[in-house]
Amino acid sequence: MSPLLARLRACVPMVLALVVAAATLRLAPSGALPAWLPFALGALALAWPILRPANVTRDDTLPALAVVLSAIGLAVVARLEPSLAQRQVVWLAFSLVLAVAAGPAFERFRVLAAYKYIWILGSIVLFVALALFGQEVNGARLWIRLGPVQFEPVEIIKLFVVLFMASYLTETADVIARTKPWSLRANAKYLGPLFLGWGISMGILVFERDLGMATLLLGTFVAMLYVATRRIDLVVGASGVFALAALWAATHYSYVERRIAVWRDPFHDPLGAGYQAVQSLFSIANGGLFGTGYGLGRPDYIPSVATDYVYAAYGEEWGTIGSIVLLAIFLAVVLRALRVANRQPDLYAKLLATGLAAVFGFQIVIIVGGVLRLFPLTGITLPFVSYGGSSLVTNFLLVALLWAISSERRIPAR
Amino acid sequence: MTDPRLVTLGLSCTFLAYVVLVRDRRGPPPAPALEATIPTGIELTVFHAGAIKTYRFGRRILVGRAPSADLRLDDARVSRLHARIEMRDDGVYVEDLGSRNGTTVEGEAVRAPRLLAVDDEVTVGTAALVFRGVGAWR
Repeated sequence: MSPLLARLRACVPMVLALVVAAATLRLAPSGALPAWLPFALGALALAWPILRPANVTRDDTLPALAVVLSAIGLAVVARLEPSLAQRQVVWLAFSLVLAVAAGPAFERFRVLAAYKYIWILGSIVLFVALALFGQEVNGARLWIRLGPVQFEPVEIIKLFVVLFMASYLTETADVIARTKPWSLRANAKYLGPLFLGWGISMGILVFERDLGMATLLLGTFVAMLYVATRRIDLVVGASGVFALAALWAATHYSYVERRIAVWRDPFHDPLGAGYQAVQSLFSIANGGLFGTGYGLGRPDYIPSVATDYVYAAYGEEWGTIGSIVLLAIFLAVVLRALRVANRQPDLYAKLLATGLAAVFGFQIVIIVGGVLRLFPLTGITLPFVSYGGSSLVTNFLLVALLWAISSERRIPAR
Repeated sequence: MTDPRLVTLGLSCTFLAYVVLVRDRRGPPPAPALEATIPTGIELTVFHAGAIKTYRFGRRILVGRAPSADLRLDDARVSRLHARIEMRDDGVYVEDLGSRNGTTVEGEAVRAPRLLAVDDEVTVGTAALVFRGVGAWR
């Protein structure tokens, strides 16, 4: 295949994605977004596959799926709050530029395997910065303000944790796998640094009251550990520790206790503590199977609807059918990511791709399950859809990294 | 007038079908590099408990007292998982796995992974392992 043809072929999924994105954004109320905007964002998105190296094959559907998801997100946020949508557009443009710019660096991602403790150091630095300069919003100290920009460091930390785990487990997976569960000293020796690194972030997250992110990191941690070592006792042990910690938090922290009470019976206090949950349930119920129609629902009754409860707003106006399509797109991303992991020859690439798939997938499960009241809600973003700059930037970088990992040598034509 | 959402949902489903059905037909993963397909192994001569034996292992050897180790040394001075000898892109390395009594190469303690030269002697507990090189399986 000639290089030009290969380049064109790489762009096909993105072109199709842009068609879907254009059809989605056409719905947005006129005036919410400038008319030239879809073209500018489309050009940026198209630069993504065009600028990639042509001498390898890649899973080009990954960036295309990200573009479709962010278009859906932009349409939902534009309908909820036009002022937020304009900021979201700036973040979207920034994320795309960053993802394109990071391309050449991500191509050599295997170099990252050698620098495992940098990620832990980076996370600790971000946490310290958060403790010193963080701003308190709703009782949680999660944001750092840099001039006009608010930034949520935990979002980046979740990538750091995956990068650290992948390098550490590449070196030690065989040893951990052959350690007997009851050999306490050996387990402490090989699992120690892992639990230390993860335990610190976990402790700080609980201290910062960011339960969603803490749960997300735990799920990712256990998934990667299991994939690398196939030791089911570690999964059971980590789940047990988490259950005990959750039980302890539920009895010692009033904000955790309140969340659980709201989850068990939101109608106990429908105008007070349960207001948000009740309004979200009303929204989803109002949507029914087919939804009320874009712009015709009343999701504005739900507090913080553009971030934590964006799934309820989408479910009201697009119905169960729309929600299933949205979840199917998320599922496609996770499956493609796991496929990337399956096809790579080396353990580091496999573990990195698995970790990124896990962190992306668990985040969707945690927030959608929370909104649907399958378990207590812990506020994190719905990737690409919720309003939130740091989340958008991180998820675009995540997809760009996965896309780089998917590179395979082009088999020479015979 | 038709609901504009139908266009979006229809296009999304078409796109998903394209992703799952059309783009999924990538062939099998590319064959690994030629050198990786030839079965090669690390050759060691093991001096332990009065016996001398030469073995050819795989590309990665775990040395220790544990039954799950690739080279099992029944020796109180050897930790359960004591050391690892593995082939990397630029040669064969030995690495101590935090053992109680340590690992040495030519009398020097191994702290970081160390590149082995042919005929280097690695000591693990009371055993001596002499690195013979890398050979292809016949």
